[in-house]
Amino acid sequence: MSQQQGIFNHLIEQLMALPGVGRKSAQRLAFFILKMESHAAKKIGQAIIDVKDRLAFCKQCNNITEHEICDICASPKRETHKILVIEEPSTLHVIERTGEYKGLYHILLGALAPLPGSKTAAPSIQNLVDRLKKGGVTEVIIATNPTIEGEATAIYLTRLIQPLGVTVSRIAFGIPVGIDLEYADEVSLVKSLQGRREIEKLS
Amino acid sequence: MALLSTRAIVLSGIRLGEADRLITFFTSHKGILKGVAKGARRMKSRFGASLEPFTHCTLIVFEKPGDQLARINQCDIIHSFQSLREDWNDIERASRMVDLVAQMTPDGEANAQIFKLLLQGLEHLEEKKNPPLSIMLFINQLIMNSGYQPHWDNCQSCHTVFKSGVRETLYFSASAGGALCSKCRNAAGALIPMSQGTRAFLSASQKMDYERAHRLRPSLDIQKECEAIFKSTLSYITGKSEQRFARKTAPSLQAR
Repeated sequence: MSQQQGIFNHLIEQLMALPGVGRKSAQRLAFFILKMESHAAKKIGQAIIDVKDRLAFCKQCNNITEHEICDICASPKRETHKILVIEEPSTLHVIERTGEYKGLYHILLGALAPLPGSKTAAPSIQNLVDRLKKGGVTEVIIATNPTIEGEATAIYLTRLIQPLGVTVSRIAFGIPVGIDLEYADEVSLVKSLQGRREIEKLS
Repeated sequence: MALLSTRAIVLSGIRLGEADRLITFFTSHKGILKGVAKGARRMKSRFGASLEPFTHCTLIVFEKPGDQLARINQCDIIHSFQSLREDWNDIERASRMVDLVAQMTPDGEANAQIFKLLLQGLEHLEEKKNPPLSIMLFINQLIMNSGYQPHWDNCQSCHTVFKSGVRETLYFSASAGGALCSKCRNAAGALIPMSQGTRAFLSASQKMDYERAHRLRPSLDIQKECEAIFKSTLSYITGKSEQRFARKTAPSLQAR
């Protein structure tokens, strides 16, 4: 094997470390990179280095940030009496896009695993409790995923937080907007009925 | 290439790729079956909540010869067992049931008795009549229905028939296949001491069906001894550590 092929194969092997990228996809990406303009390829490389060198987790909420405290935690415009608890930083961006929520976040970086054989993950629950003990927070909104792990985490958090005198709420579950009810499954329908709300009186 | 339509119970699910899920089912037709649900994590997925663990459903999968994973075409809920996913103890107990079925039954082998037992076990947990007893009886019957039937009525070494009411510490050995009298305790390694009451309870529950066995009322001491016996038996059968089969309690609820 020539040295040139060795470098190319090395790139393929490195790309295969990415999730969902097999040998074929890695090979396709490697050929694409080979044909790219040199400066464009260097930009990709530099972006990866920057992410690893300059980004870290926020000391307060575990959001991704370039500073010790993230922009959301540092902003004076946010409502500091509300904390929304989520599993992963990727969820934060989806919620921020709605523009509806103005409070703070706490990212667990995982969820509790109740299934036997699975190691209980150690999400950053203690940091959340420490934040609440400092005072000033009146409501914690639990927005973990509606899966068995997310539900187990929500149950655990509720039992931990309620004795601290903080209101705990769970995001609503039910029917997604834009679907026909006839295609909804039983669990989602029951959840939507349980979480129904009164319509405000028309003026 | 074939479409398979079967009743199934969801044992577990893990994330796969960008928006898919890899689901393990226990089916009435083929035993354990693994399948990919394309787009199951998306907002408007047609699977909805039908792939959550413990769900009893009607499943339609497409199996390609040679492929280890089936493609899940449709999954309709028969009974969701949703209430079992809303309390830590219920989650833990139901998870233990489905995990034991996954550990004890080989892939692709149907077992109608175990399918019925799992369904009954989840129903009993949902009714919340006596969950610790429901779990114990479930494990006892699962071991029996998997083809491993420990013997409780006579010593597995000298074959002396045990008489109820006689105060004697007996021993259980998974490798000997059941109970041993105190004289034969050196005949096998890894012994677990047990009372006559435990022996009588295990013997009686083995002879009753799952529903009827709920009439038995074992004491806390018997329950503890049974837990140790089950852990040892499951570990011996599967070759996995006893710790693997221990109860998983919630992390400490004390805010430090």
